[in-house]
Amino acid sequence: MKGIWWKILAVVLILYSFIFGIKGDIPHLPILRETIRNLYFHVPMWFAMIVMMGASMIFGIKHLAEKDGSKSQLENDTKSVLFATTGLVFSTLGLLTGMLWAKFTWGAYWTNDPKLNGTAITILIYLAYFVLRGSVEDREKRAQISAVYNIFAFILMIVFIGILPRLTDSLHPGNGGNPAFGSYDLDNGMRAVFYPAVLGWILFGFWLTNVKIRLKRVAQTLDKKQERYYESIL
Amino acid sequence: MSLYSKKITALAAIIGMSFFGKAQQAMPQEGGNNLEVVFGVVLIILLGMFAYLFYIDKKVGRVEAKMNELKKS
Repeated sequence: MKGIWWKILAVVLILYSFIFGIKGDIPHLPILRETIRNLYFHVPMWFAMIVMMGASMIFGIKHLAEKDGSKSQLENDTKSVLFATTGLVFSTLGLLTGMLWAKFTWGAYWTNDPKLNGTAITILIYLAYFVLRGSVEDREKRAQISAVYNIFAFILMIVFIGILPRLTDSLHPGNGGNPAFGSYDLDNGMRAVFYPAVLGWILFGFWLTNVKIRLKRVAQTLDKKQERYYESIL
Repeated sequence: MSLYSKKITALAAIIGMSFFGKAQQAMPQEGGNNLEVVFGVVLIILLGMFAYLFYIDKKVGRVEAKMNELKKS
């Protein structure tokens, strides 16, 4: 296995954050109570999602910058789409953990909040990215169109998740004038679990995507070999 | 069993033992608290996911090595 240390580090950090996230001490705050532990699971999902989508956009830009039709150009497209897939997994997990948290603190799984609606729109934007890819048959054209779309999708994600909720009223911490956890609720004990959780899930995202990229590469090589074989016997 | 698998099994055993030891101590005397059950189930899911990913990673690595060998020959 290539570069195993960071994969083991990902496993150790996630297990550490999970065990101490459930068993560790937390500040006892009104309304939040035990649900504050969800901070170790909900927020790292979004950090990981933003990093994965960022990587997807970077490979999209790299695709556009490379020479047309080159092998590395198409490989960049493969990397871009696979990072976006992993990002989508994290965003779904982030949304689900957020909905659970909302139920126990706000009383409903979903409220008409700009942050929640923004994340839902972001997920739809990235789902549209996959629909767009599926609708173009020519591989090079598909790669180029989706790379351009990917750049816009990332910018819109930042607008919908990071900027718009801060400009309006929002129940979500860190938005609409509400303080984020970092300002006073997050004590040093929680920080010692939270930051490793963020790093662990980001590394896990890279590992997952790395395996998917290598699998895809193997499948493409086998396809080419099969094609060549058929050409030789026909 | 390869050395790598042995290391992973040993790691899982150490984590498992410390978890079950702690769970036993923290187990409530009366019913109604299912946090330990949730904790155990999620931990098993996480460990299963990691084991599967390590397994796939290793398998892909083996195929890649074989393909590289074929390319050279």
